Amino acid sequence: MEFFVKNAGIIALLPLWVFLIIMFGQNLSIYENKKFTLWLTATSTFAGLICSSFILAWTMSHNEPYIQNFIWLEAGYIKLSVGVIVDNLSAMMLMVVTSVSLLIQIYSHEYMNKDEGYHRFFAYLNLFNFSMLGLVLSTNLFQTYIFWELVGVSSYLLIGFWFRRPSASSAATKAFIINRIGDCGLLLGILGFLFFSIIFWLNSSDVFLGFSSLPQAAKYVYAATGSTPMLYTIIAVLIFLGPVAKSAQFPLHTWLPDAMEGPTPISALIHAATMVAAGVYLIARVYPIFELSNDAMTIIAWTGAITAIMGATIAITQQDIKKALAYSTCSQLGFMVMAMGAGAYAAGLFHLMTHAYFKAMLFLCSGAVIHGLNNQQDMKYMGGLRKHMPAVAYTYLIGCLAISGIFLSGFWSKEEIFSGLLANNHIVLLIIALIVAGMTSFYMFRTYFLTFEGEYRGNEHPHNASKVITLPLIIFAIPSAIIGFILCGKFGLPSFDNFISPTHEIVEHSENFILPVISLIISLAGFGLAMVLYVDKYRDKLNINLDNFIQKVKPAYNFSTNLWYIDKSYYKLIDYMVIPVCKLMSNFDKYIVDGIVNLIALMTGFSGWVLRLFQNGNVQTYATILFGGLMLLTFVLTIYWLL
Amino acid sequence: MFMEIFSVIFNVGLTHYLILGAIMFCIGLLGLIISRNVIRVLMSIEILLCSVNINFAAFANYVDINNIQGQIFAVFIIAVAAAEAALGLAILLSLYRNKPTIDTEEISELKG
Repeated sequence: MEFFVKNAGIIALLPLWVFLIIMFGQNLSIYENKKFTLWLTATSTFAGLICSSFILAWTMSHNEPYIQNFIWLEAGYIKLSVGVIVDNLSAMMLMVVTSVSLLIQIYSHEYMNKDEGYHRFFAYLNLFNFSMLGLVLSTNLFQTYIFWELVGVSSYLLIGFWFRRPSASSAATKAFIINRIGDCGLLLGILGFLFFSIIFWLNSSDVFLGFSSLPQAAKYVYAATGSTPMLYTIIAVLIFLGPVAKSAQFPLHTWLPDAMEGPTPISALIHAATMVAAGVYLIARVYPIFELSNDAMTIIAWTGAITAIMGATIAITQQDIKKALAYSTCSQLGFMVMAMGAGAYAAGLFHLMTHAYFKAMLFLCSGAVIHGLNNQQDMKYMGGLRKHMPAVAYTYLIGCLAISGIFLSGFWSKEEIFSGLLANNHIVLLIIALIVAGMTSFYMFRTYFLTFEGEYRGNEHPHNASKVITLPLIIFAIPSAIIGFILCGKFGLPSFDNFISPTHEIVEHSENFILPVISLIISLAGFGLAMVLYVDKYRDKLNINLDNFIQKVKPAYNFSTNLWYIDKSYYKLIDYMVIPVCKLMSNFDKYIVDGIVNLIALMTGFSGWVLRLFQNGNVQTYATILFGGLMLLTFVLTIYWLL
Repeated sequence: MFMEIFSVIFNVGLTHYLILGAIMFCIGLLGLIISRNVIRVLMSIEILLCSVNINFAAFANYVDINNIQGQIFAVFIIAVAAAEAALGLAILLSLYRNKPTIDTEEISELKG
């Protein structure tokens, strides 16, 4: 077991090698057989999964993290290093990332089989795996930042995978630019933190910005900026800006729904399970920094709460199945961030893990449906698909139950978030969270009923998904269903809280049954409402006309279908604020900077033109100039001499 | 009376020779610049060299009478001028074979 822990870097490096092999060898004849690429990718990820399981087992019995560092850059007295950290948090993330990506790779083999960019797809997938695992294994903020950017790049490449589609390429650009805003904040935050803590790191035996001494460093920075707590809060919020963009939190969430332009396995892997969770992971890593500032924690919690309620309200009216799931992802990420901000550290991570499994599965189900209907994503043209693809329908149902918090894994993680909010006296947040939980259950079952129940409304003939597609779904269904219960820490089962926060003081949950019961009732209410509104049988029985119902709540409905007018106001902002400034700058560049350059060129050209007049090739002109010049010189010198 | 006038007229000094040289140099230069015929250009060059020779001879006669460096130099220049004229004519001839003109306006191959 020691061996796997000491060579944990291999887990991240294997996908990198596979990426290079596929990238540089994809034109070789051996790649005619697509299985070669699949085997290469799946083997490397499977090896990573095995290593991760051993590492997870090791961390169960060891409280001290294993850290390995190499110095990478030395600039004066600043030493930046890269390395590998193995502790409970990274072991958990390794497990989640490798298992989810292994299943998704198998799924993608079938899903992308007909695509001409099959090898490119797998190469990018491996690049993403490398970046994500590197991010998880980072020992310091500097290395985290590098891999943070790398996951951004691979996400960009995969969103724009079908780059011939204008919508895909613009979605990729949008994702990249919005992530840039967050990354800019993160970098500024890291630099600000380093600026105030540089003396601490010089005296510390740890590497610069290392996670293991981050609590002490945060205290040092807090003391260094002691006269102005505002400054410390600003640094913390700037660091938080990174997760805001990456985890699609409220002001910068608009890229995530657009990112659904990418292939569905990518939506499942990157934009639901792993990369967007990286933001939450980073919050967990730099938690000591946030913990010291109450203001920063409040901002984080409220950002999460706003995102949760916004995502939920928008998801209710989405017609595109992937868009609905995307907003649901936003909302769930908001849950995690809210839990983090409210001090329920372990609960947020627990929800991250359960969410990774069931949301990846939901996305893969939607992918199977889309695949089966020849790229039909609109739920208007679905319905009744349970008869055509039962395996997909039942796994989707399990996912819905899990995310809605009805007994399956989402119930346990959400329950922990609720009790965490209650324990930290965030009553308003608790109420918001409960409302969002009800809405979650409503919109998830809405998608389920619209897609799988009732009469089929489309034109394409639906065909069932093949075994390669349903197998990962069925495997995913197992952790989706039970992982929450297994790690709930009750009934003598192991506790996720104790595992993830061995050093943090363990908050004894008040063992009351009121909160879980309330959450369950709310979720069931959402489920019931969805059933009444979207199952024909019950709707007819209760005489509800859906269109009339929508007419009654028209303003709210419009507010939701227009995505809270956030995108529209961003475009307006860009039209009226950013573009004029850009135009001004572009004109400055065009007329003033370029003008100066052109003027210099013109002057040179003019003098060249003047000199060219003397070069006409006639020997007598040369002689005239020669002697004329001589005479002029003589004349001048004579005058000079006379004077 | 007649002798006085004679001596004034023929009592030439260094200055007269230099003026003569300068006048010849200007004539040669003018011929060099304004002639269109290459033969005339070559002739003008001869005039230029002659004016230089006059200067040499004059200076040698009036300033440095004991040595005859100036005269010897003039002889050398005459020899070189002869060689140069021969070369010039040869070039002219081959030029004329390629391009049947000796008008300097037409010959502008020096232009890059």
